[in-house]
Amino acid sequence: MLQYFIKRFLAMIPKILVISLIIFFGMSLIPVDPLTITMDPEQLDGLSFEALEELREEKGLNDPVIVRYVRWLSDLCHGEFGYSLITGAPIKDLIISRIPATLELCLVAIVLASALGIIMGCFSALFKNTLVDYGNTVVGLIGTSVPGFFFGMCFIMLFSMKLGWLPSGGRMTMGKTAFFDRIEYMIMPSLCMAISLIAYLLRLTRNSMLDVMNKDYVKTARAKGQNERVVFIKHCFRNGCTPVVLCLLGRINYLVAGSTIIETVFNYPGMGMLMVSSITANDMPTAMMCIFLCSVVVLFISFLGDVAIALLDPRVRFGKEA
Amino acid sequence: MKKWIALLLVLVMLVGIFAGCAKKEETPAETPAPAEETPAENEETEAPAEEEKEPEEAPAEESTGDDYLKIGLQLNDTLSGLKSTYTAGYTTMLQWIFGTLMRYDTETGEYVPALAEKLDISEDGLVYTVTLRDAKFHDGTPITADDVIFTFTNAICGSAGRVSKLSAIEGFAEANAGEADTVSGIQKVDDKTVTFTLTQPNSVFVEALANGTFGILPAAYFEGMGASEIKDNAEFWAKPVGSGAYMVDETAYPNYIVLKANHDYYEDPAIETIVATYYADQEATNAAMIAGDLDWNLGLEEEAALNILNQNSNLTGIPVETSYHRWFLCNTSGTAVNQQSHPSLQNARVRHALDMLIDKEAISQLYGSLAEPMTTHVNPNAPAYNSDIPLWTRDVEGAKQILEEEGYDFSIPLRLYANYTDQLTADFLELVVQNLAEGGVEATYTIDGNWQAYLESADYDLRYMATSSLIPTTFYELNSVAGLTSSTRASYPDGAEFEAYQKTRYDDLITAYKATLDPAEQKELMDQLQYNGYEDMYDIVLYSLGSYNIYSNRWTGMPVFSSDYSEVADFKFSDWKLN
Repeated sequence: MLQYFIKRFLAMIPKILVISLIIFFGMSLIPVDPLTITMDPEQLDGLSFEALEELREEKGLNDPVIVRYVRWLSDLCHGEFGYSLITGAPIKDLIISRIPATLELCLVAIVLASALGIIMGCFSALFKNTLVDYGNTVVGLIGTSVPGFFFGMCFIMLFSMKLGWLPSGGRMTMGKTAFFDRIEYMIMPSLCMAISLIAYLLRLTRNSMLDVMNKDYVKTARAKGQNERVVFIKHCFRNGCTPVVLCLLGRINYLVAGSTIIETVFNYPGMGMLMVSSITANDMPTAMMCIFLCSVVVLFISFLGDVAIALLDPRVRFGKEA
Repeated sequence: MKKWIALLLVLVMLVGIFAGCAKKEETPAETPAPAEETPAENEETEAPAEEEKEPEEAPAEESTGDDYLKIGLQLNDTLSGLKSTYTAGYTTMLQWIFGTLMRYDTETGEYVPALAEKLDISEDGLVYTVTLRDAKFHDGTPITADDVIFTFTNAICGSAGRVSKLSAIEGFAEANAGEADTVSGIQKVDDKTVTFTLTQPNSVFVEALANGTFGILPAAYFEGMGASEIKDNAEFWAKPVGSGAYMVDETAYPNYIVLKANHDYYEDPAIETIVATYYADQEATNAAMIAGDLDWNLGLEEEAALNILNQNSNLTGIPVETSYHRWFLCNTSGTAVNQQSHPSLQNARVRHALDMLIDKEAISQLYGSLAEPMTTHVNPNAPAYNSDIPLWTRDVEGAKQILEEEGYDFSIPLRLYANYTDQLTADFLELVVQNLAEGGVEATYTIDGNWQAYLESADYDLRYMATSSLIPTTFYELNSVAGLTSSTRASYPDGAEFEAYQKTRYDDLITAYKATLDPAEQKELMDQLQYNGYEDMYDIVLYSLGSYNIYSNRWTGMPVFSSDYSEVADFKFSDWKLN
């Protein structure tokens, strides 16, 4: 099993290298002096042309591109992400201030999606071919067809502007910094992020539960006179949810990637919004670092998902090894 | 059965969609009576924009339950120094944290002492003596002459804030060039008194003493630090110690900043707490305004403002006139700089003809009811306007005749350039192209956000520009030799002849304007400047663009002013009230 994990981990490395190559060459195309990206702008103020040229030589900015790439990669590994073109702040500080917001939003979205998707799927299976089932089918269709940001705009218009129940955006305000105090800020964006996942889990759970409910051991349990509720929870639900959980783990990275637009719609100051605002402001170094980090995070989450799947489902790892 | 249920569901969805899309009946925005024009009473400056009334006191609305004022900030704003990137919210908030020596009362049109107890100006207009109040910083330490000297010296040496406004001070050039650590014209008399000595009289210098970018800093926190170190002092800026009406209580970037009233300020603020929330962009701020999450939004375009007002009846919108206007810079440099430059543009009569062809009324309508055609850089509604200059009128036939008399080369297309990349600008340029075509002038246009590329190449004939200023001479400095900047130099002819001509027509008049404190003399000089600008027509001035200020009905007492005054206005903190 360890071998399997190591193989999966090592498989990530070439992908990260390819992404870093794309990012590096993308940054080389930015029409600004690379000194302003790699150094604190305040240190460059007032320097003469010759001094700037010396600095470029010292920093190796005139070196061959491969040498510069390797050096840049090494700096990345040491946490040197460069400086924002707009604010002059270290990009690392900007990113660190935003990561918690994105993580908590994704976490809440996962919890919401899991709870709602699985519960609705179970009800669909239990009440197959009834109004409940058809209603959930419609919800599922809408959830997969309509983009999340559209829901976001509708929610803002309805719950913030018209009804005034929830804030229109942001993550916190004075006196509302604790996690549970900030729930009102998280409800709408996390729901929007979760909607497509809810729709997906709903269908998956329904089909999985229906499959399990027709199994012989379920019929046996009923024949033995067990309460229908016990049959459902003890036999159907526990077995039916395993493939659902496995698929959920494989879809988490979509949430991280999808946070960009949702955070922008809701003015939620996370990584996604940082990426969008830096692109809008032509702060390309910041934008590219965000893209790079998001790619790495998505890859890593995929890896964790594979690990979890392998731990839960031996068929996955033994099938590969066979 | 299944089919009927499915049909029913579809019907319900359709009804829901149509109900949601139904247009809300538009209610007229709440606006007070039109602002009255009041002549500027201050001898030293002439305010181009009109004075505005305070908003009529709206009936007390239901309390939102928040007993603090809520404002918005742009996400790129931090408290990391008095940097040059501003939005209205950030500049204003800094002025609430760091007080200035003087302020501008937008209701009376006079500069009034703030942290200064009084300001004396010598007879020759060269020496400004500032006597400080017994005021304190937020940490309780007294504000002294050393702090004032430190603030202005740091600004000059570090080129921080609106440093060009201090250029009249003796020793400015050496300090700004890094050749001196002190400014010889700024001297301490005693712990409470500072003098500013100018190289020549400057009637607009008081504006510098009121400018929010020169809020008084506590020198004790920056001992031994250079200008760049001051900006980078993260420890200080995490919770800065200021000298203004409000102190920073809590910072949670990128979420919000909390300000608390400084009751030791000379004017006791009436509202105890202000919460400034960060927003990514103007759209997010507008949405928050509609949702009732903000109490204030300045300088909005008409369409956005009316959209907000129509959706939240707890807001009041006030249209304000500003000095902001747009114009075409004519490339008169000839083919020396760019081979493709239209040779006829060097002829002033041709430029007049183009001015007559462009339909400024139609263009103004594109930008809404707050846009008005202009003839010179000074708004025709402003007292400073030279009424001897005939207001612009469109005359296609007259323009054609002039073009033919002057031998305009119709075979060469006129090239228009704009760096604004929005659709409205594209529509505007299309309209101008059509207007010019009516006079037989073929024109093309380019929209390119990379304006730096055009600085030296001057690869245009007419370049779309915008400007605003509290001081009317600023516009004519664009035509003066002294005012030519890297973004405009290439558009003008080279050579001593041009410089001598501009010096007589603009530089000398601007110098004379700033040197006199006599309003009648200033009017005469401003009239002449406008007339010269009109005659030369290096700039085809198009339209002025006002804006909307929006306030929540629960907040009263804040003076209404345009963005022209956002860096100098007296905010009258003690008059504020939250209902």
